[in-house]
Amino acid sequence: MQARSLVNAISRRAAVIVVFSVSSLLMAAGCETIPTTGSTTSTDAGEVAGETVAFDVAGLSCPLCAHSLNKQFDRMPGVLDHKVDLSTGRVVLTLSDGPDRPTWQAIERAVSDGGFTLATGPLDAEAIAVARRDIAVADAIEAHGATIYVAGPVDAESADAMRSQLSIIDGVSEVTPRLDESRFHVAFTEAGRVGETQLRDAVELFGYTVTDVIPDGDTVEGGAS
Amino acid sequence: MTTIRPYTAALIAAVGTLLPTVAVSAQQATNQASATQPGKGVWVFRERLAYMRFENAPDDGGGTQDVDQFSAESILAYGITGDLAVMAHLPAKVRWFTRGRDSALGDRRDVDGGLADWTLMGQWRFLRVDRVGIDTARYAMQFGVEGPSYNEALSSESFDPFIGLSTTHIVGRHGFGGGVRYKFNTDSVPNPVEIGDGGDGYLTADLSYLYRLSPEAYGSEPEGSTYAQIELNARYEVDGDRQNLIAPGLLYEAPTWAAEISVQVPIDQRTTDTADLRVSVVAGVRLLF
Repeated sequence: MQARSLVNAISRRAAVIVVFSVSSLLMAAGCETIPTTGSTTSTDAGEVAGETVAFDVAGLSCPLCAHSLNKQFDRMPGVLDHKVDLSTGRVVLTLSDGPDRPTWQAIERAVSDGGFTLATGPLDAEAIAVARRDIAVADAIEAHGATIYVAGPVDAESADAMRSQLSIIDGVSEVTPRLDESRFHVAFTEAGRVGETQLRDAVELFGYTVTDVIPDGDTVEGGAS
Repeated sequence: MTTIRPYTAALIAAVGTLLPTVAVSAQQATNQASATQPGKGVWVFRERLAYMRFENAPDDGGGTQDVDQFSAESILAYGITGDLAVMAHLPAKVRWFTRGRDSALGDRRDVDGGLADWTLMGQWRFLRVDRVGIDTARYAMQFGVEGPSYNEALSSESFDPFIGLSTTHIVGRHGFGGGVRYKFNTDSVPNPVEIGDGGDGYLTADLSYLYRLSPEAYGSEPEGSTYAQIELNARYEVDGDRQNLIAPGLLYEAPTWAAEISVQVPIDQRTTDTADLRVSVVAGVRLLF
């Protein structure tokens, strides 16, 4: 019984210490200053060059992790678009040219705030191109073309806009709309360079829904060209 | 013992599921803490529904009784920084007691229910070793206090602080977790049923292994992951009560939510002040927003 009383007495003292420690830590956390991410037009060392910036992040170990990192970029001023590739840990950001353009330090901070570690600095233009290609290749269509089926009728004006959007995708050589059947045929310069997501995005940008993307029958896997 | 109507108890439990509390995050085994947590500004809401069957629980008449318990635990976590998160946890419980003919209180069934003691907790991840790709090793400490709900059947009516350490290692498709926690109990729940509700110090130690069943490798687009999990959970009270449990389960993680199920059974236990656990079935969901 004496031992039990001693344990309980120690517990009560420890309770006070732990509650005090918790309060102090939480107060300290609440007082943390958050760095400003806007007004980075100056040419300080943290300025990021180019329309896009790519870098690698370590520790992205699950789908929830990717979401947590995406949340950081969702609310970062000056980030127009972001893509987190869980398969490689590579992140590609599209940045604004305005005064809210984030500095490299702000990007670094966002990665840390997500609970992850920046594995590289900003990658060069060639690496960015590779990153974009990697993202496309991950769901690349292993054929020399594909047909995009769109839900509902497509008016001529929208079809022109979609054709233009599809034409600027790297690896697309020709776009042939068939409005009577609400579909587009897209020819590729090389099999495996264009991703299905890229094709869908280019059409759905104009408010239409893609019901299917069917690769051409002359697939590379089959040995035909 | 307070006796309340079953539908009232069920209603209290249902309300408990709607009240805010605290939770953790990715690739976390069902019945233990991990070193993963929400990033800055990210909320995680977790709801755990559990059925537990106990036997040989002490009753007021000096005999024993069997207990069927349904609990709904609401947990809400928020990332203050990338490595510091706070969590609140509020459990609601309904217990059905079945006494034998040998009980001094007679052969009957009673129901108790209401809000059990709540928890406020902080988690500080003090070490993060991320490698390129998905591999990572993380270490965190937990600190907090279990506070009273003042439910006369379920509350210890005391403030009981706790501290803990946990670690999470992810290597490819394999996830390893471990943790210890000590709760400085300052008072006991009346007629405690669950181990840890007594008036003595309470130590837990956990190990877990998760294997990603699918996908074999992540693609560039976010997709759900399915894990098989196995846990070993050890629970000790300073007075000598102990339970060593094994808990197989499944976890599914989508980009913004996760679902889990786990069955916990004892492989060794010795209880005198609390009841013997026969089985625990837990199902839960986690939402990120």
